[in-house]
Amino acid sequence: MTAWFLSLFAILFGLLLFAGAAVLISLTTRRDVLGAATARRLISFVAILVIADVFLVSRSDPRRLDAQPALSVIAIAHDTWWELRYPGFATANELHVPADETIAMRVVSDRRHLFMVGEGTVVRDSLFTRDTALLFRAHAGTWNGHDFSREHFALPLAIIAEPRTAFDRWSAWQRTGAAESPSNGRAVFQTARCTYCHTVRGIDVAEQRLGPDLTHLGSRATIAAGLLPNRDGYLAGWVVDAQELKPGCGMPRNAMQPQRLHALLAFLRQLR
Amino acid sequence: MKRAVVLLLFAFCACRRSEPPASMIGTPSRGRHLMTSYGCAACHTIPGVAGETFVGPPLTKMARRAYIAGRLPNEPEHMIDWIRAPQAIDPATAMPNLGVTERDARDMTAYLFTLR
Repeated sequence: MTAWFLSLFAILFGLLLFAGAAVLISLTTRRDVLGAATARRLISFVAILVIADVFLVSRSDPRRLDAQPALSVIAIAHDTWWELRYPGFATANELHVPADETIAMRVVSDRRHLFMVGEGTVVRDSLFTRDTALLFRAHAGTWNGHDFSREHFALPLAIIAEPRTAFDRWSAWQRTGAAESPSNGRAVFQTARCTYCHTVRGIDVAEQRLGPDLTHLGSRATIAAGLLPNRDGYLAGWVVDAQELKPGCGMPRNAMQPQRLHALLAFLRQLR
Repeated sequence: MKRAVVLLLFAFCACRRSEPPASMIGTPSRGRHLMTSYGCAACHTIPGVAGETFVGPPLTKMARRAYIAGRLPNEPEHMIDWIRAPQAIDPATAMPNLGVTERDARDMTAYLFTLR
């Protein structure tokens, strides 16, 4: 659907440019390339087609997918990260789905957005709305979704389509909470006020859901919403000075005492 | 006499802090790539590795620096020890132990010693 819409839009835009150029030429020189009247008619015709196209696409209802989706998930585009609400648990930034099954996804944002995914995956794009329901089916693999309303960059969403058994294993694991054992790192996590924004199910619930759920931080391939590989060195730099790595994100600097930092990193590292 | 003077002048050319060439320590190009995979640039500004960060000190001109972390004389073997176990050298350092293998530390050190 995306490809059709975009190529049609490109053709129409080309026609519009041509008509506009013809009008410009006839205005600036004495020559009438098309004839001013014809040019004006052409522009109106193209404008009507564009409006109709946008209207039709936003209303289109993909009936060729199953009416009963295999999974319903809500994807909330926060300022610099994705919150993903599955039935029974929440995670962030990586959307796992069973491959080749119909998924119902509700894309929510605090502002109007344009959400697009790589060709062949999303059946319907959300066009300039704050809350859109869409259905899609993805072949196995990793796809990249983007929300293009962000001011500075396109907020990436990794869509990982995997075989049903792998997906079931993943979601069963995500549903579990973190281990309860107390540790220095866990105490730092609380006293350093990480709990103000971040939830670790089984240990704390965030006061305000301003940052990703960290219960299974170790199960994600990236941190900082797709910006950095999820490895110890990057995690250390991110925790201490997220603002240098991702200016303007919601995570504050945390230049804490080295002993506390090492304990905290050890705690985070065991959140698999 | 003249020959002796010339030979002596050549000898004086060798008077600088002696260190093996970087390629004898390890593979500098591999070391540079390892710095990306371990995430060193998340804290250190390193020439040849993307980004400018301010958690740890910059590693620019690292080969010319006299000390490592204000603790150890800057020599390849000391650098390898530091990378592999910072807390063993300075228990109060903020630099984490990233579990770097001997070979990886060697290549990273080789790269750092190309930075003049």
